[in-house]
Amino acid sequence: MSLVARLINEKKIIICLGAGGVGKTTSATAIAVAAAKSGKRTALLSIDPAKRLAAALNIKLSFELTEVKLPGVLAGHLFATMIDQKTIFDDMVIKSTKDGKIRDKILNHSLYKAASNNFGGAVEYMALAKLQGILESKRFDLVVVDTPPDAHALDFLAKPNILSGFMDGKVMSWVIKPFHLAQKLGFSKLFAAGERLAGGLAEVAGIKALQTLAEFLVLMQETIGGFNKAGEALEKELALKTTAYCVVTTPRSSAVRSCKVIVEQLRKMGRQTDLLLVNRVIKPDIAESITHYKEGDTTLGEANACLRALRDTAVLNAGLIKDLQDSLTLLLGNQLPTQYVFDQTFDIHSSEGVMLLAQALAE
Amino acid sequence: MLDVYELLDRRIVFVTGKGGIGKTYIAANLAQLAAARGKRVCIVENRVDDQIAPLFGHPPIGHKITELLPNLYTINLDARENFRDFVVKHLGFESLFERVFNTKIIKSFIRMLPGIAELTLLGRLYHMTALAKQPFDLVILDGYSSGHFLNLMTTPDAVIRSGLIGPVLEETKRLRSFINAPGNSAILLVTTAEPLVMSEAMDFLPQIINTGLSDLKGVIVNRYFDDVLTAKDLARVIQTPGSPLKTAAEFCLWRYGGNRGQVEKLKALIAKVAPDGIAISTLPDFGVVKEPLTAVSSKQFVAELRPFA
Repeated sequence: MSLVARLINEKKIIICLGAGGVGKTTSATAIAVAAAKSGKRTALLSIDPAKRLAAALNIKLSFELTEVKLPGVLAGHLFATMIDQKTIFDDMVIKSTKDGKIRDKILNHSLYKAASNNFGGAVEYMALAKLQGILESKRFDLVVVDTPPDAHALDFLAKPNILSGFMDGKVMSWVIKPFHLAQKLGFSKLFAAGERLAGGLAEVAGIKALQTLAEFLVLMQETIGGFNKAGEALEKELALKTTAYCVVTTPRSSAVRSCKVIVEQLRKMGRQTDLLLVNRVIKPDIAESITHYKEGDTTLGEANACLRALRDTAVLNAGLIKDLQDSLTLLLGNQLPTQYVFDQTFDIHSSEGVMLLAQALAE
Repeated sequence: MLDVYELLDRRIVFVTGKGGIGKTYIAANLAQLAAARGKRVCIVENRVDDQIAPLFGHPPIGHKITELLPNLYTINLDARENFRDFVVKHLGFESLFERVFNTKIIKSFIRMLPGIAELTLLGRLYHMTALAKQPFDLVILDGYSSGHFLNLMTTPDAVIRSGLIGPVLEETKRLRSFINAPGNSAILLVTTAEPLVMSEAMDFLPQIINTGLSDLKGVIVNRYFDDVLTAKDLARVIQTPGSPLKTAAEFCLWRYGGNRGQVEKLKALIAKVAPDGIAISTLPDFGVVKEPLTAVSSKQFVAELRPFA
């Protein structure tokens, strides 16, 4: 049984981490497909997804889970949600704000409109809230989570309720209260109210900004409250043994560098890396064949350059894989469970391709 | 053909594109070229894991301007430090900052409030090349891909429209003017000819142009081999009886197959959305990038950068 197959069997959540371009989204998708094929009711949550992959599998970019229909996968076994920044905030606000008037006020608020595409790190946060929602629904045996391509994802995994520092009464009231007070007492009283943060904001960004922000926060209270609750519950779930961390990498210098950093960060968070997935490994028969390449072989003509590149890549790959294993063993004291995935010679980003990759992962 | 030297005469160059396709390598080489011409250059990244310093054989440096080679500096900007620098150095509110902001609040602020991290990053780039006591001739920003890069480009306008007044608004207008002024900044989009990567680049390209903040000066297609050119010779290797390179050649045929067609698609898109044209250049797959980077690498970079016909 492959390591991926074992994770699928034993875990309730599989979180895929890794640098950009290592095949995280593709791998997470293939793992979810493999799980669904094996009979598990599976949900795939993808943040910052590849549109082409989504299109290939007919997955809409929406906050809602939609069913993915693939040959060999039983109906009702594979659902996916692929979230990108544009869809996420509107969907979340609409879902969490029960009062229609308040919801409309938020959606039409100047701050919201100007910036709802720009809510930077909130995307990850929202995705975690979505994850919690999926877990609470108890509809699924396994949830596979694809994370955004940088280690910021780890910040949120470490502390899903990080916004509570801002929103839990203290800071929020620092901003809102003085505004109300200032309306009553006049703006000169703003600083005297002793709320340093509000005063600071006003000085830097103008009273109107403070007003705008205060209004916005009042409107958002209910929505934010929902996020916070989700964050706390999720923190507990993510620490359980039934949550697996899968770090994805390729044998390229920058990916290997990021991989080491991510494994180390997981360790600092008190979590283990359950699986190291190394993508784009050159198949042994190709690696053997290219060793016969000779420098300056003029019979190769225009093919010379790409064959040389392949030869150099194969040599580098082998070296980097060894370097990665040695470094991680040194760091952790033991070898990480590792699965190597060959660079495929079919188009992965098609429904047939994903099925084949799923098979390759979970044999 | 991308006029690399014209690009390097600008004050801020943004190198963007999907993760893992060679942005950092290209940014690093551009920086070396500029430094070799006597410019004081800083490569800026904003990542959890330093990528630039290690590429030059240097241990990770974090939020500290560090010299890697003569005239060539780097820094890995941290969002919290940016925020502090923006309020203290840029806006001049040191005592206010010390009174009001502590680490926990800053962290939450940056997370929750739209655009703060992006605004302060742009503020830093502007400061480094225009306002600092010893300004850099050129600042190259590496590491912002797709969605995050678009956020960055749209942040100044978002702040200007949002109803903020006072120092932050004034500063935002100033930095927007600077970045937008002709010849001051440029964007370089990096992609490969792999269908997944190229389709994202093609999705992304019109959106970059629409942000209207900076000039998209060129697209570099990295790890490119012209499959049409190589097909005959690869086929010959494959058909030669008993050739030990057969399997390897078949793989190359697969890997680079369709490359030229993909770039033609890109070219057609550019003709549609950018009538003034955007230079498309290609770089081959080098297989191995010798680390640490040296002058040899940037010579190879310039020599191998070709215009796409």
